[in-house]
Amino acid sequence: MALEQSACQKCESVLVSRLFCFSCNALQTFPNEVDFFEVLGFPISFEIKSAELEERYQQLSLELHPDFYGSAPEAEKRLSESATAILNTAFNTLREPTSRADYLLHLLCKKQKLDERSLPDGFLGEMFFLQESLDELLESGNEAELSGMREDLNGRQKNIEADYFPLFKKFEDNPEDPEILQQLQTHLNAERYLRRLLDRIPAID
Amino acid sequence: MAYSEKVIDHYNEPRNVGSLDKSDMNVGTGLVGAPECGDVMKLQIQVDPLTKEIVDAKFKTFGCGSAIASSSLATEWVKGKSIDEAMTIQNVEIVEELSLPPVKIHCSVLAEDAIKAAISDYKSRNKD
Amino acid sequence: MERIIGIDLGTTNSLSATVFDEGPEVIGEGENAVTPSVLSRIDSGWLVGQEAQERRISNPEKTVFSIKRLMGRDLKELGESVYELPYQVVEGERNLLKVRIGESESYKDFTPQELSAEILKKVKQRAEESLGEPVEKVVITVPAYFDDAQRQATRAAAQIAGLEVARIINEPTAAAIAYGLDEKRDLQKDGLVAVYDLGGGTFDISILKLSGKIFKVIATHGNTQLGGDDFDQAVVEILKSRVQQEYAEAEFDDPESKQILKKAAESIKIELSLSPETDYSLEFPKQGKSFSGVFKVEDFESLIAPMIEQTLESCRHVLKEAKLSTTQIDEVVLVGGSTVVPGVRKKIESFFGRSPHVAIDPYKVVAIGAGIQGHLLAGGRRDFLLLDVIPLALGIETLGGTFSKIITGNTTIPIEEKETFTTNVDDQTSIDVNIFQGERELIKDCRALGQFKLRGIPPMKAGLPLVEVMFRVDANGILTVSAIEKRSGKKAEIEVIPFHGLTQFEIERIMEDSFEHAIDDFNERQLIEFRQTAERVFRGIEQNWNVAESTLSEMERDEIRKQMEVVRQSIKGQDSQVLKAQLDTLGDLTRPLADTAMGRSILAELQGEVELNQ
Repeated sequence: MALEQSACQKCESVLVSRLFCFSCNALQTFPNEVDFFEVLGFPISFEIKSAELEERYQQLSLELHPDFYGSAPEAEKRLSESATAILNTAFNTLREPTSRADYLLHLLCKKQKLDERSLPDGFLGEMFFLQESLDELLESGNEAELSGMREDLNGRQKNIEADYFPLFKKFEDNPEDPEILQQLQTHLNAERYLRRLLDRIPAID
Repeated sequence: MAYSEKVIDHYNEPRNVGSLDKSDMNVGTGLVGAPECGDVMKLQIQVDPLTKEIVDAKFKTFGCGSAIASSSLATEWVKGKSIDEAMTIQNVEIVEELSLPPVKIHCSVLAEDAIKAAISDYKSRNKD
Repeated sequence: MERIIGIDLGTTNSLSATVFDEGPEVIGEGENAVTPSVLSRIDSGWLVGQEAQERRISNPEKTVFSIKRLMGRDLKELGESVYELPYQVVEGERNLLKVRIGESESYKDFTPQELSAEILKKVKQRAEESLGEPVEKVVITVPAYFDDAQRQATRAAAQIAGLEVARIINEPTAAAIAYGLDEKRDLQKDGLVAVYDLGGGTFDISILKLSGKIFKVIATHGNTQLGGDDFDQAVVEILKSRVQQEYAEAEFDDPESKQILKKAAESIKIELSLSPETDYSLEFPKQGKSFSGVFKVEDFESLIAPMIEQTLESCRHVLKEAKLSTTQIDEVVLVGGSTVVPGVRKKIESFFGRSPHVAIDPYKVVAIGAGIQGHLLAGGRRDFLLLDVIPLALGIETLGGTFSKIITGNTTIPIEEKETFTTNVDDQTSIDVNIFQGERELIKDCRALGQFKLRGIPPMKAGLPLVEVMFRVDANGILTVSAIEKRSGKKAEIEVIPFHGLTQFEIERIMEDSFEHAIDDFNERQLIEFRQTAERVFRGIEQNWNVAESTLSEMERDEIRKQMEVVRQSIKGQDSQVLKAQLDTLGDLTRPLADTAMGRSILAELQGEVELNQ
């Protein structure tokens, strides 16, 4: 999906990031609901190379950070602080596949109403069962079985993550198909139940 | 935020934790989840086949304090009510009773859904 | 360009540093660079630093040390350790700790913020004298694991000392800057660095990722109540039990005995860093008892082993947070005075499986890093950037005493998060929100930072108002909040009641007070300082008299003796300026002595001291 390019508020050059103009080094004022792809200057797509994302984050940090506005006027100082805050949030959101998928899904389905509680058939019952088994394992302190459970859950989490990319790709090719986004929502919902279980398993060295 | 004694009590000593016999024809089971946080809640009711009154209720919740207190309160409230009366319990009543903050409103929704799911399970098993 | 100096406000010692033309370095030379973080009460003010250090045994209940451990804490959190202090600590309103000085009738209470401010004033004064220019803006370092209350307390201390805080940075991060930007060292430009920082009273472990110009903290963990002080205390306990074996009835609860034991423990610790065993002798003049013995390094190491294990537990925790194993760490950097203890160093080496970097003096490295950061903030350079994290999650109290996180721990700062609140009853116009910081699930295991009172909410039916509260953590790791009612667009007022800190009003009152007493304090303080200087000059001369005999003429030695007598007379007088002039003359006469190798260390320092106090 093509990114709608904004222009610098000072020199009118095309902006890479909505927060800063690399041509004239001017901080940009930005709306509250600025989207995270625009913040980091990437097209709205699931496909982001993590090395490129990291590099852009560093590049922008080196321009926006309040450390470089120590002697600037108060308004500029404050702008640098809130711009860095949103840059940090945007980077943290887009860096991890699940939070990126979740964020992107909400951007894409602004008009479409999704069933936000959808889950694969029988999934909830299985989660309840796993939670109960986990209670027992935690009580008995069976480390071998606990780490077996963790590996199993980690594996399932990885499988879900691996599906994000092909699903978003499919949606780009068939933007009229409402089922694809619903499928993504189902994946994301399931992932959260798995994460909740994983959070309860203590780490063993 | 100051919470009433009653609320903290529901959290510290939740009522009616446990299970009812799922295979009993007079038992309805509701299993619901909150994808916002991964909470899972099971709520069961035991119905008197003649009066259609809920005579017992049990729950088990894997979730935060608000979810536990919401389901504990829900089991208290449904006991002694007819299944039709229980069907009218709204999540906002739970919110009010427990003074839940907005971030925790979904916990009350979960409890309302669990009651409805348990009743509809009972009804579907006792159609005639 | 304005100058922003760096200050390492330590538990035991405080230092300042800045970037000179030749590069970053601490301000002041030799012992003059270091101000012991000790202060001692005199009639109208405070003696700070070396002068106070010397009164630890003679005036134990009026001499305050390790004040950093009290910053932003309360009695419950400090636990038993507070009763080991020779000075009295009491708790005031809102759990605010105070140090009580004086007898039961005429006591005066001082907050840790005020006391730290006195140390900062001294550091500021010494830096100004050394640099020959006023110092107004500073970067102050704090342990990475300091929470919001402890950071706020540090900032308040600086404010009371009349300093503008350009930035609060974390000690391990400051150390990483000092290493990472030092061209002479061979620290890799890209890689993962673990900074192990064990000071007098606090411990931190931080993992940083260095890539190009960016120093990014990935995760941090620590303990703000663990440090070299605890090593000393463990030694004290052993000494006590040894003395009691000989004198069964011996009691050490008086402030003087506590100080004698503490000082002995400190020197045993230092000696054991150099040799496998050390002799010690304890004199308790009040009890008329003396005791001596031998302390072996094995005994010391087994005493501190559990404490080092605690630090390694933090290391494991932080690696897990960062999803890393020890083999992935490229470099290990040691910071803080307690890392010079060989037993500590050995354990770290075996834990990380590599020898740590110690090229920069672990006592100085934090101040130097802060000085470099000050240079960056002043606009002196922009070729690096430090991205730090908030050490502990911030959140609010929700149902049943549970902690609901709003900003998670180890999030890069600055950061902003919004949260919506509403009312429970019709026409409610205010909401109280309790703010906590920590990583546990229940608020009772987290730290209460304060209460926010949201006021000015337009009257509406219950649940209708939507008050959006913005939690903002700035680059100093300090939280501020603002609120807006979304339906009316009206700004809700926020009143913050800190649970362990000073309100802005209290800070201003303290500042006014200290200004009024400033002139009186100054005269008295100078007199006492010059008297102590004179005592030390005399000691220095006596110790080096053999040098004087071989290098000075009979006439020169006579002149020195005469001048010493003149100074002795003035010590009894009340005129600090006269005393100073005579000390200056003595300094001139003894200069040839100071130039000899043996006398240099003692007398050069003392001459520097006399000049410093001009």
